[in-house]
Amino acid sequence: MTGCEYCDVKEKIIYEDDKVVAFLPANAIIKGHIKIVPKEHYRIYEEVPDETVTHIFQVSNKLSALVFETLSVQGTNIVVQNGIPGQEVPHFSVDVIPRVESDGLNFVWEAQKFSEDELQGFGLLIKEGLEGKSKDKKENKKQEKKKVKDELNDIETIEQEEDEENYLIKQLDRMP
Amino acid sequence: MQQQMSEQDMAALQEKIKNMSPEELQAYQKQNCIFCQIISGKIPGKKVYEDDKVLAILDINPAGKGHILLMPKEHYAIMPIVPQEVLGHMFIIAKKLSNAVLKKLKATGTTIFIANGGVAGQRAQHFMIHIIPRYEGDEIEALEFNTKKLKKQDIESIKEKLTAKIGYKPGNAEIEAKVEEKTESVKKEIKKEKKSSKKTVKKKVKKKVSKKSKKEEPSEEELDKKIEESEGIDLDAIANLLG
Repeated sequence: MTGCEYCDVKEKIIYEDDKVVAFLPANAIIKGHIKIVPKEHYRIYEEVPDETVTHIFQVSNKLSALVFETLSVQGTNIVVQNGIPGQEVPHFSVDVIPRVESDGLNFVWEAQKFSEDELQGFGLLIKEGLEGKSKDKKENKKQEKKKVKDELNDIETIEQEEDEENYLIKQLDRMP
Repeated sequence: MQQQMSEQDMAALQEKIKNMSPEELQAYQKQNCIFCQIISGKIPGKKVYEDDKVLAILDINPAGKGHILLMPKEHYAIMPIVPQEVLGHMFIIAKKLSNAVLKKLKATGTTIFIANGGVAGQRAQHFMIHIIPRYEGDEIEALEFNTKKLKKQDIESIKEKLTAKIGYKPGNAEIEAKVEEKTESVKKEIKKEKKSSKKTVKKKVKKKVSKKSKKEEPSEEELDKKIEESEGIDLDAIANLLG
């Protein structure tokens, strides 16, 4: 997409193949911060096709391992900020962040407490969300099939009507 | 679930671990891994998804509601040792979980988080992906990234180190990028031309059509008028002829 910051990345590229580009962002969380983006313009995680998902994280894993070796760090964080409030550019990206002792970064969140019932509720909803998708897909497929059938039927009736018209014209032609 | 150990036992255990081979250590880690025990069902967990390769449970120390831990069923301590195919599968499942959270927990986003190594915040000796539902204004400060502008020479030196290792040749990409840019702009121009030519054609057609339609399809009122007029003219003409 033109005008997209990540679609237009041309500088500080450290790796590139047919599907993804890895580069060093000018505005970084820390030195050695790598961003990996798909070449196709997908806005959020949910839009990225499975094949690309597999590939981009496999590349991210390799780059993460490479960072260990090359930049002599003691750890890495691999993070995706997907949607609001974390995502800054509307183009899906994976961040690889090199970590060393006392680097001033802290991604450790404060644990929240929820009741047993609340947790159960979250669990049920998530399960529903997972199942719902496959049902939706089936439903969509059914509807699509129906649409195609209806269209075929329409074409058939039109053809029949045309045949009838032709028949009438032929009849007219035969008239003296 | 955790058992209290005496200091003596601790010291003995540490000594034992020190003398282990890597294989023994892995087996020992697996035996003592809480998450392996959740996977095998020895310890209960709030499962939300399971297949032959992975298990997803709710985090008991969540950053927010519906915080999910997704892990491989095999015991891998860190991400680099996870087989690529398992990794690929995990992130496809992570996408589905993220989608479920957006849909059903009405989250406005998710943060997918992995910690590799103790300094990065890894606590468990079992690789896992965190899927954290996010809400506008949830103020999980730990997950808010603060970026700063890096010095150009810093970026350049890191780039050199990494590209040397990867063997990436930036020249090709730059050329490719330029080619793409050029084709893109050419495409745009062609599109513009097409559009404008389409527009002019459309205008001409419109004019013709509107002229035609006026001639061929006058409105009823106009027709009536014309008939009246023509009748009038005709009548006058006839009257004149009659003298």
